[in-house]
Amino acid sequence: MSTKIYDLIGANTGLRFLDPLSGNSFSVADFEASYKVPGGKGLGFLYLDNSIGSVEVLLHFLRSDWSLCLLNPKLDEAEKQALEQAYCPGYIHDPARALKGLTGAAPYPIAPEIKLLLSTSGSTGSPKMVKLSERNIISNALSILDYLPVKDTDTVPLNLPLFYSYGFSIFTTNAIAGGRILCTCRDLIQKEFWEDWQQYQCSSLAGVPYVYEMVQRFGLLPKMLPSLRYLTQAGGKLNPALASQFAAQGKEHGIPFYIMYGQTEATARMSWLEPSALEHKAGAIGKPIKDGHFSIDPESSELLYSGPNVFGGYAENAGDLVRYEQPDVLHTGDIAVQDEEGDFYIQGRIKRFVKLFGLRINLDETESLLRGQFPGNSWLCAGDKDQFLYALYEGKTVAEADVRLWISSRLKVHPQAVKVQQLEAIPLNSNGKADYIKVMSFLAQ
Amino acid sequence: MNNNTKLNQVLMQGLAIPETMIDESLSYQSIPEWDSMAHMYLMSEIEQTFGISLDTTDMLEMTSVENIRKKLAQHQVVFEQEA
Repeated sequence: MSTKIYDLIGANTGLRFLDPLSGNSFSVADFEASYKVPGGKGLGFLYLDNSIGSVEVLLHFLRSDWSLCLLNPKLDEAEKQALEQAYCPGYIHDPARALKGLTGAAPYPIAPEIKLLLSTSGSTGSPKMVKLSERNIISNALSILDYLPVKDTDTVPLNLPLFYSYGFSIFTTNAIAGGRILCTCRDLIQKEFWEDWQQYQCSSLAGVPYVYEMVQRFGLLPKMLPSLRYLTQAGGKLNPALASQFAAQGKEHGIPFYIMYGQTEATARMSWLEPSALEHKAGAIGKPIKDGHFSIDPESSELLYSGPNVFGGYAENAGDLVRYEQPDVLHTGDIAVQDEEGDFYIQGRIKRFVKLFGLRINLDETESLLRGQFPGNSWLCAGDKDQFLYALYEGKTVAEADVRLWISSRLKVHPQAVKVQQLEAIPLNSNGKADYIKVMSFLAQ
Repeated sequence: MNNNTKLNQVLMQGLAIPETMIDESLSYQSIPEWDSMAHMYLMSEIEQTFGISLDTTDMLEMTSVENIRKKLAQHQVVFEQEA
C-alpha cells in the first residue's frame, strides 16, 4: 500500500477540527467512528463548503480508495447536472440536493494514480479538471511545510474554499502539522468571523489578492492581532503597492507576509518569496519550493516548472480518467525573468486569461460565449491588470448594461469588474487575427 | 433625489440587482449577489453617494439594509418617511 495523505493527517494525533457553530472539537479518530464510505472505488463527487460536516466527508473519502472530485456547492443545478453527465460519478455528496450515496452509475476504469480532481475555475462549472495523485498532494504539502512556519500550537481558519487548490493546501498542510483547524463558512465581512478569530486565537490567514484588498480597505489587520503569526497570499499577483504596505505593517508587528505563486496544475504551490525580501522585491514570486525547479524557455521566456507536484493532465469527461500522465515540465503560461539573487518575477502571460477575485477566467472561452449569446457582433475580450475584464465589440450598438450583467452572471463576477466598449473596428494583425497588443494599448489610454 | 431613493440606487449599483429585489430584510449572503466582493463595491458606493467616511466597525455592521439605515442615521443621513 502506498502512503495516503490521510495517513499523514492521522499521524498528527494532536490535531483538532473546531466547529464554531456548536463549539465542539473533533480529532481524526472521532471522525473514524462515523466512517461510512461504500467499499470498492470509483469517482466521488463531493460538493463541499467549509463546515465541519464537509470536512468529515472529505476525511472519509481521503481515507477510502475512492477518487474524489471537490466541487463548489453553489454551482447551479444545471451546471451540476452537466458535470455529472460528463463524469458519471459513482457517488455524490450534495446536501443542497439531499444527495448522499451511490448513484448506481456503471463503474469505469480510472487510472490508479488519480486521487483528486480539482477545477481550474471553481465557479463557472467548466468540466475541465486537473488530475492529481496522492504523491502530488503529499509532496506539495511537505514542500510547503518546508518553508511555512506551521506549528502544532496554531489555529487556522478555513477561509478559502476546500474545492480551490489554495484552500485545499491550507487544509492539508495544517492537518499534517498544525494544531487546530477552524471549520467555518463565515468570511471576513462577518462580525462572527472575528468573534471566532478572537475566541479561538487564530494564528494565520490565507488570501487571494482581493482578500488583502478587503483587509486593507476595511482595516482588518488590527482585528487579527495579537494572535496572528503570519499571513500568506497566492492566487494571483498582489498589487505591488499593497504588497509593500503589508511588508511594512508586517515588519512593524512582527508578522511575516508570504507571497506565493502556484497553479492547480502544480497541485497548488510552485514558489514563495522569503518575507524579509518583500520590502525591496514587491512583485516577485521568489524561489521554487523544495523539490521544485524553475527554468525559463530561452525562446519564449515562458516560466517552466518541474517537480513531484506536477499534475497528471487535464480531464474533460470520464473517458479522460483512464490516463494519468505527468508532463516533464509544466508550462505555466507566464512570462518570467530571474534576478541575480535567484528570485523570479512574472512579467506577463502567454495564456489568455484574467484573474478576477482569484478566479481564472479564460478570455478565449469568454469570447466564444459572447459570440454565442450576442451573435450579431464580433467580440474580443481582454484583461486589465487582473482588475477588469473588457468585452470589446464591433458592429451594431448593443445594450452594454445587458452584456455586463450577462457576463457577470455567467462567470459569477461582479458587474463592476466588467467593462463593455464598442470599437470602430477590432484591430487585426498581418495574419488577420485579432491584435491583442494593439487592443491593450487602446485600453491603456 | 431623496435619501430613500439614493439608498435604493446604491443597493442596485453595489449589489448589481434590480430594484424589485430590494427590501428591508435583504442582508449579507441572503442572496448570492451580496457576497464579499459586492460588499466592497457597496461600501464605496455608500461613501461616495452620501459623502461620508466609514470605519471598520461601520462596514462590518452594514450587513443588512436595516443596519445600513441605522448606521447612516448615525452619520446624520436622515431618511424621510415614504409618502
